[in-house]
Amino acid sequence: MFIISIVAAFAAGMIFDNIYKKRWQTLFFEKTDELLKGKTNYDIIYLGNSRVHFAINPYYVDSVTKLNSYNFGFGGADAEEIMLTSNIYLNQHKAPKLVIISLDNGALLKNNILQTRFHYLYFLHNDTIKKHMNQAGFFTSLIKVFPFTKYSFFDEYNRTSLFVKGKSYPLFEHNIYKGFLNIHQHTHTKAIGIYNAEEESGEISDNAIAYFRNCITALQQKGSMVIFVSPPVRSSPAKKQNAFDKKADSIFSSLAIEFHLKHLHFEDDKIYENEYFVDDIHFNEPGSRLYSQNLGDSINLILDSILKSP
Amino acid sequence: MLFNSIEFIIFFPLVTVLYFLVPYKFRWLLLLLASCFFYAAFIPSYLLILFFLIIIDYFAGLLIEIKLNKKFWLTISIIANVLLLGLFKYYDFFISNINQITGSDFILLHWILPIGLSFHTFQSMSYTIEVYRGRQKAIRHAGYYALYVMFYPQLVAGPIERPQNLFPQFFKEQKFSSQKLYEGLRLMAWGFFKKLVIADRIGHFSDAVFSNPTQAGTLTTWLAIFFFSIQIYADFSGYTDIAIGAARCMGINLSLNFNRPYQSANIREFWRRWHISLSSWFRDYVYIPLGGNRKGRLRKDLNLLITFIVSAFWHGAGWTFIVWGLLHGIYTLIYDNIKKYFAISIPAFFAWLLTCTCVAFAWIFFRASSINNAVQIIYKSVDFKAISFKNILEVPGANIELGNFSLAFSFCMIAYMFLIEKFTTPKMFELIFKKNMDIFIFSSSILLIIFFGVFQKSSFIYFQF
Repeated sequence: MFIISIVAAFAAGMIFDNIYKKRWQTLFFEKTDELLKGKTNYDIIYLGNSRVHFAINPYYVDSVTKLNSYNFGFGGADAEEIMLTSNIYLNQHKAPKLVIISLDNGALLKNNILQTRFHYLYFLHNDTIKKHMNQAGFFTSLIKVFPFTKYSFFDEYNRTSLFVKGKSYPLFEHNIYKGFLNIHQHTHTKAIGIYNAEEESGEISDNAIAYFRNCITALQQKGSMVIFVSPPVRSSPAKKQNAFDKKADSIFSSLAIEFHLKHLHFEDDKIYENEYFVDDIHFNEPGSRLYSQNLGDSINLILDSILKSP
Repeated sequence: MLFNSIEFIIFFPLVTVLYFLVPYKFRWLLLLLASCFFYAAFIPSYLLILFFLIIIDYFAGLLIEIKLNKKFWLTISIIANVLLLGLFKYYDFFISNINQITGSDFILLHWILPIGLSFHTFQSMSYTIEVYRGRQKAIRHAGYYALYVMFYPQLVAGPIERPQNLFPQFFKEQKFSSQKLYEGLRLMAWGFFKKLVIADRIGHFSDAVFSNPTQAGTLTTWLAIFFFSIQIYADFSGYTDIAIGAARCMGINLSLNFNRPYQSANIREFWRRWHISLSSWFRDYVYIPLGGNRKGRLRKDLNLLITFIVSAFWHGAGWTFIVWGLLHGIYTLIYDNIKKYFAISIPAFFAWLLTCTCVAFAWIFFRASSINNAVQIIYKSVDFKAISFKNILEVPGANIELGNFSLAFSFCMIAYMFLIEKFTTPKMFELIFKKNMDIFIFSSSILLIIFFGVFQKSSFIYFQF
């Protein structure tokens, strides 16, 4: 009886694995595949959350810098996931010349985002991922032996994706490119609104600061230049800074000073009008194009100054 | 220790294997230690409360049997049990109501209710009452008596066992039986399916609506009431199935506690099928001693209402539980009187629908956090002007949305549960279908649990009692 059930579970698990990868957030799988198995050693990589994933288009940055870059931003990524992404990349690839870390104050909160990153359960053969997912509370050894058990950990939203086909992305000029995704071609402020004017608050996580430190240290030890970027925000209505924001900003500034990092401040840049945003912090496609071009220009200036310095 | 936990997955096979390996004369000790360990996983210090109860009732039983002022010792046993229950469960309720009415400021205890206390006390009182009535010999062996109170499968949420059922099985050397093991495991799988795939899935939605009644629409509220009615059945009967199944693996038969209550055609039938061990306890130790139906119609009706109110109170120290019990008492009285004085017969389907509707309505009070909360739910459910098919699955205030898939899946699983239970005998030890069907049920239960179980740890609803 148990043997029949276990065999059936293995078979069902294999079918579900195939369906899940095709139906849900294929870009997450593509990026993680690129991270683990990609053969290309990129000159620049971008790390961060949805403010990287939806915002930095390597097509436009590369056209300005003439370098080869990849967007490794994951929506909702916290400090731990940023460090995880960076460490995996360094283990599998040659260290990049430049690493752009896009800063979001939310990354300093106790998010435990890995507890909802079920797609990493397909990559437990990687020791780094296995270690972090184990720390997040998953029974990784059990899942490795009985892969179908990963579905026991899924939340309802992810289970639904096994049976409900998601929307396909519309294709227009360069809106999906080397890890970047932006499907909002011309939507603006009064549209969907993923993130709107809520004051970020909460407790700063000491672990988050430690993860940032580890990430920067590992990158610098491998010879990469790390640049902090504070990305643009919608200028009107202006997002108010509360005590949490001020504390988070000061932590990032301290880290930049401690590790001698360049810190690009786009948050006060007035050229990003409301028409470039779908909400307070996420760009539409024209907005991401403008930002990527400007980011490329800034990177060029930094690289030029390095070449010219004695 | 929760049944739906990794600890239990390790605990259960270990204890079951050891049970058959250990010599028969030491089995009581193994089970007793295992039960102590099981209970200590909640709050270890509360074991002392259990031991206190065990000591009182063990000696009370012995003294009752030797007829040394037996009524006195029975009274001591009942007072000790009721006092313990009263202090932990009802003291704060009564005092806070007195404070509110009189404006006084008596101190509240804020003691956490020991898990399963209501069940232990009733099981213990059942023993001393049966000894008093001469229907049970007092148990000399303190270890066996302690095991009767603490037997782990039914320790925290029943079934409430009678001594005549458990002691003979404890004293008999249970031989290993692969058939019983298979039946037990099958029943446990079914119980886990009901708890993890159905109850915990739909529970999130009904919890959200009951917590934010003003935010939900009319149809959303109906859905939440329906889901809670199913949730409490799947949760509690699921727990019972796991308990009965776990005991069955060791060759011990626990009492049937649920017999397809939602198939009932009237309220009397419902109470013959729902939480049977509790309703029979109240029948035997409250309703009949009050006089039952032997003292005239009015007295019978009064005894019935008192029994339902006391039963409601057993569930919780709150006005909502009292209203819930009162409703069921009124339902029963109406049913009895209609049946006696008006020879009305309604088609079976409508009788069933009416019964389920009345029961579901009463569940509103059972689930609500307060009378006000219950009234809000009822108001929302009858706000027919606000009926809209848009956003039925959303509860804005709770930021929860049940997807179409989850809804469809939940309904499928509920239908599957009722269909399977319709075509099996109550303890699922026999199937009316061909033998291959039990393989299907067992395998499908396991697969559904693995792929669709909700594993965020949640305790069973009846643990709070």
